[in-house]
Amino acid sequence: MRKWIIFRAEKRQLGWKERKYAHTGSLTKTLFEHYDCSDSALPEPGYRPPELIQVNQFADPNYPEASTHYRHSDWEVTRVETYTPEIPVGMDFDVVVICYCKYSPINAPLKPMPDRQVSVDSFGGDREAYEQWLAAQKQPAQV
Amino acid sequence: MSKPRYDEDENKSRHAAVDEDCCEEMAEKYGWRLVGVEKTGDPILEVDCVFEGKTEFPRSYYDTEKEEQ
Repeated sequence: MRKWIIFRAEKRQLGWKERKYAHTGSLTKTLFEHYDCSDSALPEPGYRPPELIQVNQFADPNYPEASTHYRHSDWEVTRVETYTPEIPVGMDFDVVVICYCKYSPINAPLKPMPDRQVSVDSFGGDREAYEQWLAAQKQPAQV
Repeated sequence: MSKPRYDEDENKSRHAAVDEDCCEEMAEKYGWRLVGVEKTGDPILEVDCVFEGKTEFPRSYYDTEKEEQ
């Protein structure tokens, strides 16, 4: 089952002026979104979507923009609405879920991001591109 | 092909990809929950796909063959 889970700020939550779409500058109440094809239960009140964070001193020079840590965010789900298509045929999503959230800072501890995995799926199934990448990793680093 | 691992807990998993659509395709193919997509700054593997839980790509016959060579 394909689920689009949207985390949306409740009314009048702190910091609303800073919540913008990066590509347009338009204000938004959307906080996070998950693309969920698992069988896991939907988020429930109390759930905190994860937040990805880069701590500069731990940044990997090969992946300089990537996060280094994650933690529970300062947003807590307060209620959940689900929407299903009237005719569930040929649709991209089987259900759309809106999780309303309130700002509830907790200063959660940081956890290090796990190692990065790479496979042919990283290249959209392009076996040749994957092979080229693997071969490049075996080349000695140039100084 | 063996069944992919999926242990739902507080862990996260990270898989590199060439674009954001690869992340959604991985979620669809293996039944995972994609909780974040972000740029890496790498010129080839330009994004990281972050999934809920401990996920691993299932080892294919092809991969096993390659390692044994």
